[in-house]
Amino acid sequence: MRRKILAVTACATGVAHTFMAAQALKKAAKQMGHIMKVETQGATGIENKITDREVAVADVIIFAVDTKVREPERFKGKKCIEVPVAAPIKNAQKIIEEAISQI
Amino acid sequence: MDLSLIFNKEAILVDFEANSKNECLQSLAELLYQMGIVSSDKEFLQSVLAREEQSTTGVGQQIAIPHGKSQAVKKTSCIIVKVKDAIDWDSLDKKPVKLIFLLAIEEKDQNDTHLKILSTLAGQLIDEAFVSKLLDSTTKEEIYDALILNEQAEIEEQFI
Repeated sequence: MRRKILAVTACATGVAHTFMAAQALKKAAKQMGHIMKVETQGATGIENKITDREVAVADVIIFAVDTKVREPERFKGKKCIEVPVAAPIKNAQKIIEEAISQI
Repeated sequence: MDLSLIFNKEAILVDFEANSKNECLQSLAELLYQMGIVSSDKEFLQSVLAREEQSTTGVGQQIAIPHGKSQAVKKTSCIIVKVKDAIDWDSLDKKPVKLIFLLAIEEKDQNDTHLKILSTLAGQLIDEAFVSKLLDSTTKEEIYDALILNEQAEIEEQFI
């Protein structure tokens, strides 16, 4: 089944891992046939920001973060998993499977 | 994204020799000082090692992206190093590292072109084809061309 998955990535410095994790998640989701949007919370600020409407239609949210999520109130009440930012860089498919198992 | 804004061939090293991760980072910090990118190699090195302590920057596929954010950095920059013999980096996939992207990042967070370029590059390192092209390169010129010519394929679909 084609799932709608949102993700937020963030790391301490906000330059390298945040963006690697985002690409890894997008690539794996595409290969697995799911729709994914990733918001990066890095040194250049929040990019590709997730909207309330997207939260409303999403099946699950992945937080791949080594820092506090900025503006977390947007995601209140949604099904989610939280993993270290390195986890999707290591194996994004596994993290997506884990997220889907929460639905 | 125009990578030539931030990379030049002088910032690419090949056949670099180092026996360990720490030795490698120390030599590269000294090099950044000689290049005028950092005002103090010791201070910059400290920020890089502090970051390494948090979690590994060996991101797999024989690549490491160590980075330091420090007041010693005069201008956000990157040097690219292909080592002669692979170095153990305690990587996510346990493989030793052959290609190192050392990022020197200015202390102040800013919506800066150089930062954006580095972020884009980090994202591109997920692409196996791009990475193997870089790993197969043996000269500065080949690495430079692979970086400059790489176009990131858009893999995102409309969410709603």
